[in-house]
Amino acid sequence: MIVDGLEKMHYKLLPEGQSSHSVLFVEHAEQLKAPHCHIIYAVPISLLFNVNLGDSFAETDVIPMVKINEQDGITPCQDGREALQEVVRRRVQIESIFSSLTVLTQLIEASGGSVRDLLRLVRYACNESETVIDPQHAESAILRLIREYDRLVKDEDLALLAKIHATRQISGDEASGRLLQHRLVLEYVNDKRWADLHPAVRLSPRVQKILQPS
Amino acid sequence: MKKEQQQSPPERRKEISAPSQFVGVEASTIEKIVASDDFCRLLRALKISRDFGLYFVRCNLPSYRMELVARLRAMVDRPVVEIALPEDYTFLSVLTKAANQSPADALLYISGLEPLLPSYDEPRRHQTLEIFNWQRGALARTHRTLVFWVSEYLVPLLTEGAPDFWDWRSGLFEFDTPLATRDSMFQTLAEGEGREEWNLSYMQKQEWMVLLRSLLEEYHGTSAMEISARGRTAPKLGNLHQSVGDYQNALEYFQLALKTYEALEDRAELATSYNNIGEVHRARGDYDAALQWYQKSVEIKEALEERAGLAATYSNIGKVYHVRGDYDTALQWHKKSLKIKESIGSRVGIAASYNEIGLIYKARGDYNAALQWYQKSVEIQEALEDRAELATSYSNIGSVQYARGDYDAAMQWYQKSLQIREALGDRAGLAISYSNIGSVQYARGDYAAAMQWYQKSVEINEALGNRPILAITLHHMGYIAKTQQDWSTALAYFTRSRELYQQIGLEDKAREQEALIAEVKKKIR
Repeated sequence: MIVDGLEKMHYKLLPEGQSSHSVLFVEHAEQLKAPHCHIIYAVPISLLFNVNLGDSFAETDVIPMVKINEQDGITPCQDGREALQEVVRRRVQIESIFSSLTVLTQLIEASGGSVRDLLRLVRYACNESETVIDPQHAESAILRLIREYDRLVKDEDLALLAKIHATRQISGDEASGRLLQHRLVLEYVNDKRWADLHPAVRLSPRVQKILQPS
Repeated sequence: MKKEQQQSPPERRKEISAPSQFVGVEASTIEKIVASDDFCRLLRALKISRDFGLYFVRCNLPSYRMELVARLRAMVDRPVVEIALPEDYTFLSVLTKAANQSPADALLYISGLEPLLPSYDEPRRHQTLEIFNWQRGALARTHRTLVFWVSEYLVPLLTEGAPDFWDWRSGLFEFDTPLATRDSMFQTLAEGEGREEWNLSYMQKQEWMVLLRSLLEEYHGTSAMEISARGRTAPKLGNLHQSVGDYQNALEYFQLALKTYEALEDRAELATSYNNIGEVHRARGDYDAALQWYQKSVEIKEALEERAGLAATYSNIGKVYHVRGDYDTALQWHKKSLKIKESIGSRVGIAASYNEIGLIYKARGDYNAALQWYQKSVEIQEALEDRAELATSYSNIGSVQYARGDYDAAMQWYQKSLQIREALGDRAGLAISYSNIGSVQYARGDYAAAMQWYQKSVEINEALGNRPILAITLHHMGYIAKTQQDWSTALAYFTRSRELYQQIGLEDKAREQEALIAEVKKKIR
């Protein structure tokens, strides 16, 4: 049995100090496990950082982003990039709408491996031009995504973002959970889990400022 | 004074993890993208959109939205259905129904999200966001192009509050209102004197809040003119929120005004802001904080010799000492206020001070003195034909008679006050009159009549969203039910009263209801 959608539950801090998420998945874990069958629940990603779900459930897994670079941040991951290209190819005729394949690569890099954001970027790029999408159009589309993510970055997030970028690791606290939930930070898996900022977040002027050592 | 300027350094340092094309983006580039016209992009998006598409257009002012919709209608050759969402939780079914009845290639322009997501009503906002987040599938199943027209403040609300719904967006297009449209709107909405906000119906207040906030968002620039427009609009919003008992948001708007006047170094307005913030604290029962803010206001007003404002703040300070039971100090402040009003010849103000002084004598049990002060107040108000304030004085006289136990006389004065308020359509005042008359009936032992009058008061206060008065009236009703040993009714009233006190943050009062609830519950068992 697969129960999808529960991850969409609104995060709300209740007067008793718990969150709406932990009330369901921790306090009512027994009820969730009551049916005598194998069940997979989709849970809000931030929950994995607040509580130890392993206490109540047999296994917790994270479906990571499609990897576009290796952990060093420079070596491109060809497999991941090709997979994303395929995702786009299934929907549009790449050769006829992009001036070259590098334009698509540009968008893939800015998506951070998030399929939704990649498709969004393709859409945005299409809005930029009546005909073929060239590198400038792609850049414009990326700027729009940067601006949209910028609204989610709060001043108090900046220090934590810098830390995650420096260590490629994410710690198990509530603030980090929020960053993952809103995809400001993306999580990847090779042998072990690692994380980095969403490219659209990393490229925002406010974040750039703190990433540059003075 | 701190001036904020968004400017990132021009250096573009190469960084190992940066993707090939972009190393850094200047803040100004992002601003340019937004400042540039999104109309062409929106136009293209709407032309090519097929099946389900979820678009958001950020446009604050309704008049400009209508203009844009008209332009789009002329340029996109597709049927258009405009949907104004109802202000209740049926909105999603209304929306999907309209969508399903529209032609397959229709563009749906949806507006009216703001009243469903009011900043001053967290539970309602939560409910709406949940509906969007959980039931977004219903929107996809319409297979239509949905265009939501939203105000600036909704964008972060939706991104954070309904992330899954938001994640389906096919685009966000942003439009700043043309300056001329914006400024003429500002003239009509934010200008104008007085606190007429207080007597609007709850619905009217909501409309005003949406419009004023939209307007506030349009003035996000750093020029002195824009800052001062923010400074003038914010207190109006503060008053509106305060009038519905939403002290938290009221405080935030008054603080916003404060910040803008700090930036402008406008000390007179700064002093007004301090006073307004003090008023919110006073309403909340946070008297120490209130006094501190009033004191800050007084310092500036004294330095500027801003005498009318000084008289108002002195009087507010007097009111704080009054509720604290420190009648001597209260009297001193009211007399200080009175003295100024006399010297500047503010007769309206003088009459108000007489009333405040009368209230103190009444509180001390010196009913004759109280009546004398009220009488003095009445004389001035009759001469000025200031009927609204006259109603207050009559009501005060009634309450002295009530305190004396002369219920017939009390009733006569309350009725006189009531008649004026009916004639003026002063709903907030009427609610007080009904409540007063209810108290007389209660004292006479006619509980059924008392309940009826209180109920009338409750209805108005509910309509006005006046939670503080509502809470106390419900408390009275609970008391009557308790006297009649109707425990379950009493429980219901005390519970609602406690809820309201908790919402407006008057913890002492909430605890008082809590104790009554416990008492009544024991009886039920």
